[in-house]
Amino acid sequence: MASPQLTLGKRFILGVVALAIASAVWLPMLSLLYRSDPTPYFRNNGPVAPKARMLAAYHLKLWTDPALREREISKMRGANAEWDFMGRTFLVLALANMALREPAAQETYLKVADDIIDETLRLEREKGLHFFLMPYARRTPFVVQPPRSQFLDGEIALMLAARRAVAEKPAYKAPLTERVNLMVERMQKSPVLCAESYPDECWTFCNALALAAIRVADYLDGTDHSAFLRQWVATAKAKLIDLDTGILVSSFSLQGHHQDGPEGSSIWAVVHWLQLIDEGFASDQYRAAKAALAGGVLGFGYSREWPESWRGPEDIDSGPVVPVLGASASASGLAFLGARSFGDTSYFAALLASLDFAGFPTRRDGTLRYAASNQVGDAVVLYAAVLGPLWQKVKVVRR
Amino acid sequence: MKAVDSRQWTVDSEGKAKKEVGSRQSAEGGEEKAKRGWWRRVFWFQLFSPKGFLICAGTLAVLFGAVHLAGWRDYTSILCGQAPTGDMADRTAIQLGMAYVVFYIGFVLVAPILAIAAGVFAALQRIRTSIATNGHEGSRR
Repeated sequence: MASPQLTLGKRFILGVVALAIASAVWLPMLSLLYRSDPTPYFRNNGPVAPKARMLAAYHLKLWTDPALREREISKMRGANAEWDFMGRTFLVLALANMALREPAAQETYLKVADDIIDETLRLEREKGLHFFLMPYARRTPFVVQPPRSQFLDGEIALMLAARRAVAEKPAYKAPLTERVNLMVERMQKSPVLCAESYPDECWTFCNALALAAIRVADYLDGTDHSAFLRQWVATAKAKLIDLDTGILVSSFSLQGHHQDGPEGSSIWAVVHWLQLIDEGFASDQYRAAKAALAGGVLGFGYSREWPESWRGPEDIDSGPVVPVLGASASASGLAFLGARSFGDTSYFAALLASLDFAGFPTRRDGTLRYAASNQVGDAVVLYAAVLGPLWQKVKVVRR
Repeated sequence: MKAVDSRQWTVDSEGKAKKEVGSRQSAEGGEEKAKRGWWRRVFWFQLFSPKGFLICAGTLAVLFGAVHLAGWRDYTSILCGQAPTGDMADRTAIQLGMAYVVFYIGFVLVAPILAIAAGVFAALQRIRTSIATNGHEGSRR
């Protein structure tokens, strides 16, 4: 086949030309192989979609197999104790939505949700608030005393509220009311109406999530925090927006001094929580986040951790950041939540192509998990796949 | 003076000896270099051929198949910042995960390009040969 007249130099040139042509053919085709119809992952209404069901099956197995759960959780806690906690929250939220989608399986889903909530409350009670926080929480005291973390209060309140929104559980009523009252009281001590997650460190993620919990509690118990919620949105618009991008910053001091700028691993979830508080503001934030953070290469979607205008460090929240693109695994995972919340199917599909390409899906015994991810990452994707009914119920029906 | 002469002699003698050794070495090195250069040319000549591209693509596929069957996929959680075994000091597990990613990229990205390029390369060679043959025949006429 080889031509004897060709010198090495000429061969080299032909080889390079052949590689260039082959790359031009293959690279655009690559995303077609991974870009599939996203409908097996989610449905707007009705029962859980098949792939979401496979993802859920893995999580249900985790909570019914103590040895497997212990292994997964200890792996996560080795890197970040927060992940253990957040994995619980996203899974309970997913289970609440699944229970609303499939009333026949409600008992199974709520049983697991209750197990998670009860164990979380027990761990908080027995081991204290630092058990689910990163070690730097101990370095300095919380400004507002006695010490509490909005990270824990907000997510525990939302878990309790989500469970009760599916089916009332009297044992969870008082703990929810207590958390809501504590959160509101502490938030009102700050000029930006936000409470600390870490000492003198408030996170938009945690506070927006807390607002969602308060809103669900209002729906459940007939309380009315609507004036507080409106006031929070007005304050956030005035004091917590990054001027370059128009996106809410991710962290700030109790006095409202910005610490981290807009972050992909924060804003995509924040817009979802804010949907319950102010739909218009949430939509504006989603559009701004999409403009500044969403990206795509050859049909593969991703989210940057930081916008072009902000240089932030690679940290435990961002995970490893892909050089040049600025894409981060955490931000891209949470972008599923934003995309699904706002019905952005094309971005969802592009993210899904990336997940199937670089997430290393692993299917075993009817379960699906992503080897490149962890329990919290998979729980976020599961929640993004099944969300809808819970927010709909709270938004539409007012007691 | 003697001492100086002796030093000079020693220096000269060592210098000469070094030079001799150096020239012997350069003669041997030249042969080795020529041999290495020949092998390198053969290697690149073989690599830059449709067959070479196909062999590379096949090798990448086999390597990926091996690490996949070995179960290294389970170690890729390092991509999200979590140590595969939960212990960030477990460098072996981290390296297995990174190696899996490299072989995976080789299999899904590089190997298909090499396989397609092999076909394109063969076609380009054929085109070039037929042009050269036609040109040669034309000039003879």
